[in-house]
Amino acid sequence: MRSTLQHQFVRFRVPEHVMSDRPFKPRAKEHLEACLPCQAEVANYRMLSRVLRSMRDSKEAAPPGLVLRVMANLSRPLTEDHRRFDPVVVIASVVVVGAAMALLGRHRLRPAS
Amino acid sequence: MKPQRVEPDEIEALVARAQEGSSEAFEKLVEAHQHEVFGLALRLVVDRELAADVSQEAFIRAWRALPRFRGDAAFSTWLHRITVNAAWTLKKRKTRHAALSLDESPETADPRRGSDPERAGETVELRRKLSAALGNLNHAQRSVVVLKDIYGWTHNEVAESLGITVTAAKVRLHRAHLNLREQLHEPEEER
Repeated sequence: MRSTLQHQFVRFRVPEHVMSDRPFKPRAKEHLEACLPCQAEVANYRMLSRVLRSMRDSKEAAPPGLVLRVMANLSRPLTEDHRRFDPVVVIASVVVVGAAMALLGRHRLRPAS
Repeated sequence: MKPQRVEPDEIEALVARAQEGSSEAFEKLVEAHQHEVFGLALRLVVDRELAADVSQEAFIRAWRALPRFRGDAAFSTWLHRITVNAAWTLKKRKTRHAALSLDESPETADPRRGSDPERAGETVELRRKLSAALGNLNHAQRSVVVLKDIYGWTHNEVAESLGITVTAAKVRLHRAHLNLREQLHEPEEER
């Protein structure tokens, strides 16, 4: 029972340890030395890690004309509208609304003559 | 593809000129970085057409944000972060999830790279399978694998760039690893 729990515990942690090059703790190491399925799992993730890292070196050619497309579109609006929360507009709106409310309040407080 | 070799000093000078508004300097920066930006975009969105749009969007965003670039990180690192954000925005807009066919694999592995021909062949085959497996991950999981495992970002950088917590990034990565493992290998017999 204890062995099964240890096996599940180690197996669950194999990906994060192998993919991040983190060493196993002594008890986990002890289990790994005796457990063939876990050793196979470590080998699988080592290979996965190695191949993923090697993918960085393989460059992909950008499509022809990308530079021209970029330069021709430098002044066009962005896909996401970043001006939605333009701070100048927000502050100006707050000031205008605040001033209007203050004026309205003063007007109401003034005693009727 | 002819990779544009530009020295770091030259990049710095071009960035400084582009920050002053020189579109010619910026054009040279685009020429120098187009392949790496497109490569990252392609790995993130797994669709050549969309990756071209993402690259274009990223460069335009970079041009707009250049005045705020302080050089705390390398220009290419900064550009990569913008590319990740652009990929996220454009991918959200895209409803179609194009799966990468094996023939369209972005990997151009060089079997001569390894000293052991058998291992090199195995790596090429595994890369081909892995490209397809990455294409089957959802965008959220694929992003963390690409940024952490392929590009070597830290958990903090991945989390910050994707707007999630470090814990969420780790959980997402763990699930992605299990998913890839499942796709690449037959399940081992439980003891």
